[in-house]
Order: sequence, then C-alpha cells, then structure tokens
Amino acid sequence: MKIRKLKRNLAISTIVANMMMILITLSLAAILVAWAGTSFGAFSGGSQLFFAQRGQALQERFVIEVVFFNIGSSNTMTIFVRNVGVIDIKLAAIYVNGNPPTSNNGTLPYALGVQQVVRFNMGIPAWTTGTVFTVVVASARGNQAVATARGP
Amino acid sequence: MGKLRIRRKAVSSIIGGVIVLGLLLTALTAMVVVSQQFDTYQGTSNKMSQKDIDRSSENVKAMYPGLQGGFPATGCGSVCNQYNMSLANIGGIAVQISRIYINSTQQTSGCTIQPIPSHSNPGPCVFSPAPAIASFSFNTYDSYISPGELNHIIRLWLPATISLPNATRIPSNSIWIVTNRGRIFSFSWPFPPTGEGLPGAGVPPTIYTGTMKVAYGPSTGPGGALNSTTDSCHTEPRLTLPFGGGKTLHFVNPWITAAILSATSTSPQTSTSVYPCTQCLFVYAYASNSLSTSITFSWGSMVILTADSSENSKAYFIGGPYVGIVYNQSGVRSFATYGTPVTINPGSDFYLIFEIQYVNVGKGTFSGSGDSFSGTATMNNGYLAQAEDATFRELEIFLNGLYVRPTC
Repeated sequence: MKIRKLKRNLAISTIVANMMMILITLSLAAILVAWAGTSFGAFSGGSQLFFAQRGQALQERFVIEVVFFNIGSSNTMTIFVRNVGVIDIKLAAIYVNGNPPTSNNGTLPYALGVQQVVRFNMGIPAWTTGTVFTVVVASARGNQAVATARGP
Repeated sequence: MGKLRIRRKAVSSIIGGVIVLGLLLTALTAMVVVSQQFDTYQGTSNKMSQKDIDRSSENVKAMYPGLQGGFPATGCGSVCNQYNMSLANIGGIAVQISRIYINSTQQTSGCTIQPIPSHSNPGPCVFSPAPAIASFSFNTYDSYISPGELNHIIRLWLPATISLPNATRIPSNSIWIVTNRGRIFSFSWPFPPTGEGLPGAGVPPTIYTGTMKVAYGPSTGPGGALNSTTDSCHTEPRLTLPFGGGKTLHFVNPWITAAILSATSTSPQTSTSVYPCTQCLFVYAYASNSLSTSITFSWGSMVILTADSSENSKAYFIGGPYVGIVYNQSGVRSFATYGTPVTINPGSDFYLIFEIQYVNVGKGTFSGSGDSFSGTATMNNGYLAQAEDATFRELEIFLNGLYVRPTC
C-alpha cells in the first residue's frame, strides 16, 4: 500500500512537472512569437513608410523655367517654377546664393499641382552685370531644382 | 511507460514545430509585405526613369526666321498682334510646348504689361497655351510637335498695344521654350552670327543657311585658287559656270557654290559685263521662295568668310558685309544697281550671287597691305593668299527674308 501510494505520488509529480514544462514552453513560445510578430511588423511598417515616401519623392519633378532680372529694380528677381512631375508638390523654401530672399511675393510652403506654374518675385542683393546667382527651390519632400543665372 | 515516453516526445515535437512554424510564418509575412512594397517602389522608379528618358529625348530647335510677324491675328482684328515662331522637333519623341518666354533675362521695352496682376515692372513676354486667340498665349494645337517635324509654326498672340522688341535689337532677344516634360530650349532672335570679325552693331534681320567648309589648293596668284583642280575637302562634281565665260564652278556644298570670276566675264544672255569688280570672289546660293507671299530681298545681309593660310601664324579672318546681286535662273540680273531690293515671287527660284567686295580683316599679316584692308578693298584671291596656300575654313551666309533649300 505504501509503495502504491508512493508510486501514485511520483506519477502525479511527473505529470505536474510535464504540464508545467509544457506551459512554460508554450508561454515562452507565445512571447517569442509575439516579439517576432511585433518586430517584423515594425520592420514592414517602417519599410512601407520608407518606400511610400521615397516613391512620392521619386515622382516629384519640378523645374525653374526662367530667371528674370527685373530691370526696373536692381534688387529683385523673378523666377517661374513648374511642376512637371506626376504628383502635386509643396514648395518649402527658396534660396538665392544660399540665403533666403529678402522678400517674396509668394507664401511658402506653396502647393503646386501637376503642370502648374508659379511665379515668385523675390528681393535679392542688388545685382549688376555679370553677377552670378544660384537659385535653389526645395520641396517639402527634399527635392531641389537649381538654376544659375548671370546678371544681364 | 513506453507509451508515455513516446507521447512525451510527440508533445515536444509538436510544440517545437508549432513554435518554429509560427516564427517562420511571421517572418514570411513580413518579407512578403516588404517585397510588395519594394516592388511598388521599383515600379515607380522604373516609370519615372522612363519619363526621364523621354525628357532627355526631347530636342527642339528654332528654324529660320525664328520669329516673324507683328500682324493682326485672323479673327482678332486689331485686338491682337500675331507672331509666328518656326520650330523643328529633331528629337526622337513628340513634344508639347507648355510655355514660351521672350526676353527672359532683361528687357527695356516690350511686354511691360503682364498677364499676372500686381507686377508693374518690365518683364518677359510670357505665353501660355490657349485653345482660342487670347492675349499672351499661343495656340494649344500648335504646341504639339511631332518628331521629325520641321518648320512647325507656333502662333503667338499679344495685345495690339504690345509689339515684340525689334528684330535688330542688340543684344538679341532671348526666347525660351519650355516643354511639358520640363526641358527648356532657348535661342536668340535674330540668330546671331558666329565667328570673329563680325559687325559690332546693326546686324540686320538674317537667315542662317548653314555652314560651308571648303579648302582650295595652292594659290598661284590672283584668280588662281579656285581654278585649281584639287579640292581637299569636297568631292562634289565641277560644272561649267553658267555666268562665268567657261570658268569652273565649284559645288562646295549642295546649295552653295563659289567661284572667282574676272572682270571680262559676260552674261550669256546679255553679252555684257555683269561683274563690276576685278576677280572678286562670288558665292552662289540657290534659293527658293517657298512662302505664300512675295519676299523682298533686302540689300544689307551678310556673308561671313573665315580663311587662313598654311602658316598658322598668319591665320586670317575675313568677314564683313556683302553686296548682293540676285539673278534669276536665266542669268539675268534682276536689278541694275547695288542696293536696290528685288522682289521674289512665291514659287520662284533664284540664284543669289553674293559678291564679297567689302572686306574687313580681323587679324593676320598681309604683306604690302598691313594688318587690314580698307573698307572698300576688293577681296580677291591674290589679296587673300599673298602667294601662300589659302584655305577657306568657313563660310556663313545670312540672308534677309529667304528660305534657302538644297537643290540636291
């Protein structure tokens, strides 16, 4: 009888131990799978954002059509910017020789639709014949259009 | 006991398999999602690359006369001035013009009134496409230029109160053509002559007929160079000169010929001397009036001739205005005196014979003549060569109001 009881107790311990091990393993597995899912989800979500933004930036095309030095005023310049890409863009900044223009008739950021053109009449340092100006127009997605013009 | 052992193994295997399977599926799902996103991105990249290729395939060039007009537009009465711009699409893809700017860098007159409000400073003339006649616009249907299409006319409309700056404006008018793909092409109007020794001002409205390069053999004296039988640059056949009393005619390119004639040359039609200078260089151009209206060929166009000797230190540049004589195909001079304009009717073909009589020398040494000829010196082969080998490097002809076409 004593031996039979002992055997029964041993059997119970074995089962409990096994069940505990199974539970622990399953718990760890669940944690592992959840961690992996979260990690891969974050990875795929990040890549989705990256590719989406890169794809949009890639579809941007805009050009500075012409740079015009206003003869009526030696410190103003007019540029025409056209969106020749396939998506709408937002012009975020303009730089003339590395500095923002002293004035600008256009409000930035400026939303520009496909094939639309905008004219910016800007205040710049006084130009003389031969003065070289580099105009950079930057979009909100980080693209740039650059034009270099020489004072007439 | 054995069964239990077996069951234990099965449970572990199942649990392990499920865990691994779960991890694999999670990773696989993420990979599939990322791959799809990258495919989408790659597709966008390919599409934009193709657009870049299309853009770089565009090539638009202005053709003579570049811009002409200033006449009332049909259907617009006195409201609009119409100008015609001649363009050629020499690229491999169709082009759509989105905007045209004239005098885009600076101007002192012209489009002081702009279609954009609140801008009173003088500005460039800005033309946008429009389906019907409207100020500061050009015809939408004209904006499409097929590949290989030459002499494509784009009609520009301005208010009647505004005229484009004169064609003789110095410096030239700048014209910028913007395509819908973002390419920008520009040209100067009137087309500027190239090379040295050009007149400094007052360049007349001109036509650019192309560049001719021709070399002649050693000179043996006045009148000798073009009688040489050797021609190092061209293999075009020689023909009997129609007006030169048996002199040799050189076809130096398909539509321009050159010859030196003597004062004793006579017209086979009139039997009189038709060449008033002694051993002048004549340049022949075959021209055709392909327009629907008559053209008055004005005196005052220009020939630019570049030449040098066999000695590089004595490289000459010779250029200057010419005195033009217009002959019809029968060899009869259409006007009797220099400076008299002649009218060429539509469909008529003419030989334009340019006599380079007034010569300016840009640089070089001429024994006996100093560094330059006088303004009225006759340029003949003797003066040019001075017993040296003379090589004509380049000849450019600017005609007023004429379209010159090859005859072969």
